Amino acid sequence: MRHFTFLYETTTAPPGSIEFENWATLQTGNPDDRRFSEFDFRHEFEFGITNRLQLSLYLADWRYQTGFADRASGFAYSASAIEAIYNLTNPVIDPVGISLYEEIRVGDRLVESESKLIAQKNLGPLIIAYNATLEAVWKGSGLEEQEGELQQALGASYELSPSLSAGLEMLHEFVFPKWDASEHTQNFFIGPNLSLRRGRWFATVTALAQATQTADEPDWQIRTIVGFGF
Amino acid sequence: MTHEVVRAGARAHIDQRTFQEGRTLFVSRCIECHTLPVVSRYDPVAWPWLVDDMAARASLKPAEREALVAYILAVRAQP
Repeated sequence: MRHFTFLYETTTAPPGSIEFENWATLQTGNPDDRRFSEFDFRHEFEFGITNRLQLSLYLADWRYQTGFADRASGFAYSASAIEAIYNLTNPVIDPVGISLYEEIRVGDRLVESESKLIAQKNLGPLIIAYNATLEAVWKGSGLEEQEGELQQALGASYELSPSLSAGLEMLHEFVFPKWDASEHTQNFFIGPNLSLRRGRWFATVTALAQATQTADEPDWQIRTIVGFGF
Repeated sequence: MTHEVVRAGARAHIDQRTFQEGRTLFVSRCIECHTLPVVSRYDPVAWPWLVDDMAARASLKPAEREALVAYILAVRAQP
């Protein structure tokens, strides 16, 4: 169950539980090519292992791209991934809830490592979450191309009723091509989110707009996660 | 845990271990899906039904379900 789509929460799935989550992200428009659109899809099985540990398997990430001036539109497989989240402190009874996150993604001429520190505080019906992320990417036929990314994200979600929450998400990225600080770009995205849940189902959607003017980043990112617990 | 809450458990005749287990489940398992409601928001008769409704989603075993309901009703009974 997620209140955010671009942020993770410190809570982990109950031991013995299995949840299936489908992600769809639309990235569209950028200052270089207004017609550009990319749809990214992820299909995740989430397993509650202990009261503090959760493991996930991303079966197949794939995408559909359209609107390029110099390339044909089409589908492509991106990668598969495994992920672990370990909870250290509770967001209700401890001053701050903390969890650690690690994801390894492997695809066609691609290896990615994503490490996160997740912080969260629940204040009555309000959830405040913060993620600090370090991402390392190796790509190319010999994995010779390297890229790094530092990211911080802040979100708030207010529970309007037991089945409906609404809030805000912010994303601040520093991208380092070849890990070169002199060539880094900085992007900032902000937008609202909405989360619905009923029984074993939930659906959460976030629409982010780019507040910076980075040429090769999308103007808009809209992500939906729909999940079902078994 | 405040002394008031501990006394509430004692008044409701719940042993300390069950009370503590119920509290741990309340503050960890329930927040996986939603924020914690004020326990006075629902009638004591409604609480067991509400917990039953979400027990499978929260992977609660029967003993955990009992401890959770006992904790909520003990805190709910506080003056």
